[in-house]
Amino acid sequence: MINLNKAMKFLSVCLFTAAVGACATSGVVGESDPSGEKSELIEIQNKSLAKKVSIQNFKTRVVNDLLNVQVEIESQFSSTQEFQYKFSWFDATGFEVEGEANSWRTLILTGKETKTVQAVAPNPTAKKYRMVLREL
Amino acid sequence: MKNWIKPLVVVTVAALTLGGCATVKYGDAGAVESTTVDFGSTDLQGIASKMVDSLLTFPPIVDVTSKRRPVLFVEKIKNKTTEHIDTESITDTISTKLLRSGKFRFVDMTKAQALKKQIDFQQDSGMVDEAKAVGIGRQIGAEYMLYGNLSSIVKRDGSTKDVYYKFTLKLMHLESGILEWQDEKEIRKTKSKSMFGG
Repeated sequence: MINLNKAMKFLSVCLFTAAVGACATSGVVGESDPSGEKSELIEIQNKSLAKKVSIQNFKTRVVNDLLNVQVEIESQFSSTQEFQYKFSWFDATGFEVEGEANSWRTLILTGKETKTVQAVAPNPTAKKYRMVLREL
Repeated sequence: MKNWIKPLVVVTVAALTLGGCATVKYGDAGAVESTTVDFGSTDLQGIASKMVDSLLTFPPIVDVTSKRRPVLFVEKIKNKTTEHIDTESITDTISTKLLRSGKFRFVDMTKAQALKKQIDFQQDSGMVDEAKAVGIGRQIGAEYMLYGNLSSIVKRDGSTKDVYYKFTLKLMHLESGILEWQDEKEIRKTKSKSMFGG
């Protein structure tokens, strides 16, 4: 249930992968929904990765004036997979909030497992967020 | 070809071949680092994020911080592992995030001596305008103390090494001695050495 006003709603989940053995990543960063009609905007940039995971049940709430996000990630494979994800935060005008403080986190999913990942905005100015998921 | 040129060419080629070329690159400070199983930057960032998110959204703390910005002081994190770990760096990251959330304020006890020295200078040296000198006895005392432990369990079996870290952070209300909040972050890292390659 997303109960934030439309101006605050924003989600872009980008799936991209890194070339095996290389340090560079390929992918495109998502954008906010320009119409403001949708609460979530999912951009799948890598179809191969999209077959391995399903991202669903986006939930947001405000706790202590801080935007709190929860995303459910489900493995579509029967074997264990390792991913990395990162949240970025933006203020109402689209400027990134505490950009350098965002780091990648590891997510390990066993076969067909579903896990939720959560994040809390760094301060009350953050009104929008973006989550990027990638595999190594 | 002169006599000395041939050996010079051979030595140069050998040096380049054997020595290779050193390259320096900047990397992403937020990238997942898994060079060894020892405590690393990803562990530090993961611990700080978990602790800050947990503290800022814990209902009793939300009640307090929604009305005012309590003053904290950071006591040392006790390193109970066998590794040399800069635990002050962990608490620095945690206090930075808490401070920048706008929900807490801090007093820095590591600078108490330097602060006293400066105030003494302003009050007693006769060199500072009395009207502009910092007053005595006007500091705000901390209301809460942040402290904790970092422990580890290390196990080895042949070529496999397993390290389990547990970081515990506590927030004590100084006046009552009550623990208002506490949380843990667990990290497991395993390194296996394969027969071939690394």
